[in-house]
Amino acid sequence: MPTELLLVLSGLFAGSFGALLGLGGGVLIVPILTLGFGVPLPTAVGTSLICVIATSTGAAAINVRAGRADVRLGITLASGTVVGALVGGLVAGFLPERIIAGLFALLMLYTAATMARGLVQGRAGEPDAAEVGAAVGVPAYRTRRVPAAVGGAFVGGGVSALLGVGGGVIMVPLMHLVMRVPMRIAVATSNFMIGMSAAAGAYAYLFRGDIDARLAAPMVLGVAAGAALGAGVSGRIRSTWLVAAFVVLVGYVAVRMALLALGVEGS
Amino acid sequence: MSERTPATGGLLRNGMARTLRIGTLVAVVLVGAGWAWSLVTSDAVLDERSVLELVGSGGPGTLIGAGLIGLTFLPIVVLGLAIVGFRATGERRLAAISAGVLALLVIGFATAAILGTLGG
Repeated sequence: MPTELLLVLSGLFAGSFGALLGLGGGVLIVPILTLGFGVPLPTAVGTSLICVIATSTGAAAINVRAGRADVRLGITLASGTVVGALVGGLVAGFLPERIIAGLFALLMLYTAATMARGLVQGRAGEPDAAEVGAAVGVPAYRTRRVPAAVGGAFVGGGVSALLGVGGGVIMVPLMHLVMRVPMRIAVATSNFMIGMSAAAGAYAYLFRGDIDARLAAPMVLGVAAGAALGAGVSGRIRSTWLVAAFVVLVGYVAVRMALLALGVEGS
Repeated sequence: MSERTPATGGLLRNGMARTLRIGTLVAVVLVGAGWAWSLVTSDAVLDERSVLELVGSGGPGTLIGAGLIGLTFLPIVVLGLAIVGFRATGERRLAAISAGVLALLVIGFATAAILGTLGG
């Protein structure tokens, strides 16, 4: 099968899986490019950031229109994520590839552990209180600890630019657990913000020549189609099985990235 | 700490949603058209060129480069709309935050351009 077609299919897989699980897809795109196609990590991260922008802006259009994304909160927190992403994008140019691979492995383990905990506690697929509230009207809520959250958003933005992910795995818990924002709105708002932080991070990669158009073009097409596909079938798939499959996949990728970081495996 | 709902003013919400939707669509169509064109003509224009070099290359590379760079500029356009929308609804603090974030993105772009140029 030609490489171009494989890239489109990989983007389709990452985009649909990401849409089904509320992720930007970067946690899958970076390992696919690095471990699957042998792409150097900085190029994989830069290319992934472009894909993350595509999925974020596409989903944000729907969430903003539907009133699920809190634009005020998103822009306030973006002041933290954008600074973090600018710093992360610049710092990434000086970090050895093995350190970035190690950090990515840690992020994958954290993501897998977070999703597995939700699975064990039986939260996957269940609507939270806010969703139930949303069914009877727009839920009113109060945001708390805004300055602390902007600080946390700085970390989220930095991780996004360093590792080529959206940063939703940090931003959603930050909004939901620290700021007490309902889960449904935290997910939609995180999606809205991700485009800004990914763009801020992408600029450094763009001017370093670390965004490869030969990879980015087919991946963006696949991811955009996959995101639309995933959003379309999300109500018809049992999320428990989906999350379980994702946890196994992410756990496996974390081990492979850790081996890459330790120099046991080449990219 | 303020009570809030996610719903925002019509100009802000509809304007942003429309911009995001149309902007994403245009960028993806540009990338798709350029990529299909390069495959049909077996054009080697994509070989060893950065995205920035592609924009000025002419042909399919220009379409792909414009689409990919257009995606990265979409948040800047959205923030511009946010400034207008928040000013229209009298929310000066949020208009100022939006302007600050927009300025950060522009500074980030300029810094990356300068460092990229210096780095060769």
